[in-house]
Amino acid sequence: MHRRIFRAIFNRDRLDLIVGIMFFLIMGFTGFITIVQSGESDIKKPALLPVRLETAENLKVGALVYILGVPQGYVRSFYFIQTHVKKDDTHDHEIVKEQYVLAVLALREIPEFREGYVIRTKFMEILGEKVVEIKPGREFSSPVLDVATLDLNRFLTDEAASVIPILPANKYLLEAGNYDDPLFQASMILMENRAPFREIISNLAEITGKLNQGSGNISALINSPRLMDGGEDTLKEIQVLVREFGTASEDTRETDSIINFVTGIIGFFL
Amino acid sequence: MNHILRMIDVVILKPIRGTGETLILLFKTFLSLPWIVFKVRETLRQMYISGFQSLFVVSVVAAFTGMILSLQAGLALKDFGQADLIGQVIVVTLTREMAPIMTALILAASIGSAMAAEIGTMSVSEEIDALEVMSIDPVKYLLLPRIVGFTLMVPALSAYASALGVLGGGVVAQTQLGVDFDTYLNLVLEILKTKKGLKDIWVGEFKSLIFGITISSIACRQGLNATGGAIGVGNAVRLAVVTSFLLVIILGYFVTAIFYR
Repeated sequence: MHRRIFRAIFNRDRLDLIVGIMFFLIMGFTGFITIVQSGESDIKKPALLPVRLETAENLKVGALVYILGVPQGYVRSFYFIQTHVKKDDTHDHEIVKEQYVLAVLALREIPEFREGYVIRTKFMEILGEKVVEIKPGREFSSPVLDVATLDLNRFLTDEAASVIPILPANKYLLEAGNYDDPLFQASMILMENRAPFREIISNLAEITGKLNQGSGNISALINSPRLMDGGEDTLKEIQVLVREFGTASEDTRETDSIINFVTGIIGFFL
Repeated sequence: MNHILRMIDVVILKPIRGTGETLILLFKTFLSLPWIVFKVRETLRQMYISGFQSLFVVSVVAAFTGMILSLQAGLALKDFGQADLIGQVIVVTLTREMAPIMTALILAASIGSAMAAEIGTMSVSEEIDALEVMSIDPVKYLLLPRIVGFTLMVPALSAYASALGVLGGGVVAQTQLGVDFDTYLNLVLEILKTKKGLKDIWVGEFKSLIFGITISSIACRQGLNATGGAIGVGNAVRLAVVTSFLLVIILGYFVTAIFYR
């Protein structure tokens, strides 16, 4: 009985059923791709480049990364790293604590680094934000082999890797310098030398006060009537000189057409 | 056990079979496309019914949709001093999504339902059987001009709705938000001239084409399957409209996700 009903249900319009199932499977697959799966396709996934920084001062997460002046990515995250390393230059191989900042840069693609490469943090504009600048090195230099990179899938899925990225062993970690702008450095100099600057300013104020009061050597010189008269005479002479120069230039302009005519005739005969 | 099997048949297998039947019907219509040359007059009549007779409803809905969008988004933008950008918001929203979906829903409710009722009435009065007896293929005779005529008119009406919505939005932008109409129109045209703007236009048109095929094929299939007199015709119309609405929304999302993700 059951079998008969089962057959009646499934044998009827079998083609319609198959096509319908295919349609719903396609819809389901499209739904899975467009609703459940992440919006970023593999092509858009960035390459992660870990870089060792001396300091991450003034650099923010999301700061742009320029490769040869072209924006190619952003700073994804920073990590403060403390490791114990053996000091080779001492005889007793002393173990010291090394501290640095690891910045993970998300780039469209990792360039080929060559000897003499430059990675530095700098202010792109005077009042702008700090960015990372990469110059991968000239083509005639030898390439930097085994540059350390991070696996994005592991970085996103492995919780341990996302807290402190696990750097691949025996790979070369690129180092970045820090280049602050002149304005910032000037402000730092000002801050560090506040006492001498304050002294200079107070001296200037004292001199200006004396000038205003008419006391002191410079003010005596400025207030001297002889100097004033001499200055006025000089100005009058300069005025006469300028007027005469103007008259001379007008005369030259008037004779210009005659000179041109004469030049033309001589040119014709020659 | 019998009860469960019958439940499975009604709840799960029947919709799947219906979908399959609609797709097969659509495929048969596609194969019959060369016969369209013999059905030009009927196709033009269907285009007139789908296009011209829906023009008033589409115009009113499109203009007011643009006006509502302009007012709502414009007031929010005004708080940030960005009311001048209202043209960009309206043109992107209308060309990408609102105009195709709005037009499709209006046409599904008006023309799709009429199409299902017309074919359904023919079906319950055994006119379709009579056609088959006379060796006249109902797909070529009835479905082909309807599906082709309807499918061609949906993108055209969608483009018209986009234009009218943008104009309606511009009027509200000028009167209610203080945005100069020329500035608004210039911004809209500038956006449409860009690569992204052109993509918005053709994706919107493609979406309308998909909607047109979906609505007309569902309406025809429901009409052909109508049984049981007036009640059957009523059921066919209801199912045609409900299924069309659902598929328009779902397919609208999928097309957007595929092109803009």
